[in-house]
Amino acid sequence: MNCELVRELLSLHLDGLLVDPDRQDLSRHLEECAGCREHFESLDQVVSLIHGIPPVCAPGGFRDAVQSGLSRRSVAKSLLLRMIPRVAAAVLLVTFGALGALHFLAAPSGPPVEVGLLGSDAAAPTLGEAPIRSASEESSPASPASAAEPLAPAGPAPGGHAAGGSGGGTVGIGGGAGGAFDGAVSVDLVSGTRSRSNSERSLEYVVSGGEPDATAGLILAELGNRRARTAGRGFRDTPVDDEHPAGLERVVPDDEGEPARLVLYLTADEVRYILTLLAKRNGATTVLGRSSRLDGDDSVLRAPPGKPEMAEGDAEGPGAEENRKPQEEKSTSAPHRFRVELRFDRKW
Amino acid sequence: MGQNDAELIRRSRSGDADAYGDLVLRYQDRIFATVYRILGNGEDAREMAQEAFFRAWSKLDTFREGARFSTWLYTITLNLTRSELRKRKTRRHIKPVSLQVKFGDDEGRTMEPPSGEDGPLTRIGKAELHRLALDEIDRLEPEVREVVVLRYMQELSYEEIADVLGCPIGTVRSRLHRAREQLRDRLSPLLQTSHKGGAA
Repeated sequence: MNCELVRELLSLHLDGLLVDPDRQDLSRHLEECAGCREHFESLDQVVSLIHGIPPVCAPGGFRDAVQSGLSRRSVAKSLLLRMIPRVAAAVLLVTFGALGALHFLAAPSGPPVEVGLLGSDAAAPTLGEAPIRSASEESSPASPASAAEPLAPAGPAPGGHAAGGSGGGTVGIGGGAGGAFDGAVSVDLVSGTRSRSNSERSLEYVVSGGEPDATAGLILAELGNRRARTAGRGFRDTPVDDEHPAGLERVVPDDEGEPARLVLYLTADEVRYILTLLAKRNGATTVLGRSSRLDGDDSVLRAPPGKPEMAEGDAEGPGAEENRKPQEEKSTSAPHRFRVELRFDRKW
Repeated sequence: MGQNDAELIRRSRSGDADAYGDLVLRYQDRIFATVYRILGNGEDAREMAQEAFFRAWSKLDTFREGARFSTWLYTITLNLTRSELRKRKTRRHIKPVSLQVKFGDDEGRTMEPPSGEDGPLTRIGKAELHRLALDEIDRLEPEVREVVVLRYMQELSYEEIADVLGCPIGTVRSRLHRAREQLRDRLSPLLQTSHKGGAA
């Protein structure tokens, strides 16, 4: 028996687990080998030392603490079990309520949709990386009034993807390069005109997909909310004229076979707002919202000379403060509104 | 009292908190001491030991008939202590760990060995050696320390330790061997000095 093997057996021996004949062999080796004997004695001392460490006991009241803890946990568990049906019901109510409220806003899943700009350049059809906020929070900064550029009518963009050639007035929302979504609404600018005096502009969009009632309801409701929201902040909703005091007109065609139409008299901000709203509904990940790009690209939304844009929509936006300052000046003249006609592809 | 574990477990499973209280009373010292020696903090040890009993209560339905309750309880306890040690390591929050028994403090009542067992070491020298030994045990790797605590402080057999740890007996042996050799290397010089001092 060599020393290496002996030292491995010493552990078993110390624990009383070594049996004959190994035990006898080990004893003989220890008598003959001083080194192993010393090793054994020191190990024995260490084991004795550890064995001799006074044990510790649980603190007083340990059992009572455990039992009271169990009682508390049982009560909590019982309460939880009783609450689960109520909580579940509440969650369902809230969920369905939210789903109902967001019915118009909820975007179906799908690839991101790019949002083009009115009159945007082909190279820059999308704007902004800002995350989408809820429709009620969304507002776009106003563009400064400037000389209007000539408007060139453009054809609709199939699929609703942002297109817009040079000077083209195409806005594509919804659909996206990946194809149309279920229930997606594509809004395409088909013409932008202005009068010779440059005092009146009109925009005509074709709205493809979706139910006209639902889309129009969404637009009107959101516009109403937006105007109500901004009205309380010192901004006035100036009527377009006596005939269109609210600036909104739901056109009910005489001919039942005629597609639905909605005519809106909107500020540039409101046009952007609605386009953004519809874009979000279609799952867009980028929205109108970067003023620097808007300034450069949305010439079609610029107000004609002498017709400042109404700043109502910026009350909550980044430029709210700046827009409040000239409020009094702006209120002295009616903001320019665009006549926006939405032509649906189906009947009301 | 006087009932065996199986009967107390049966009653506990049916919701008898008093029966479970008897089980707690029966094992609280062992569980607390195990946690205390591994974690080395009285307050943490108390909370962790209580948590072990809470866990055991909530898992009583999973306790296998015929198994040893103590083994099962030790397994739950060590899982908790390992988790706690991992958290401490992750957080790099190393609490001052002392395995030293604080005589007369509120964290753990201590039981002094009979004075008649004093050997060549003086009683004061023994207390100091115990403190040093506990410090050295604390320096062992956690998996080795567990084995030392279960073997030399809880007096578990190799088989029981293997059951608690869920490892082969050979692993228990090798860990114990490693622990003893490490402790011998660190403590032997002190023991020699102490022996000489005690004999003088």
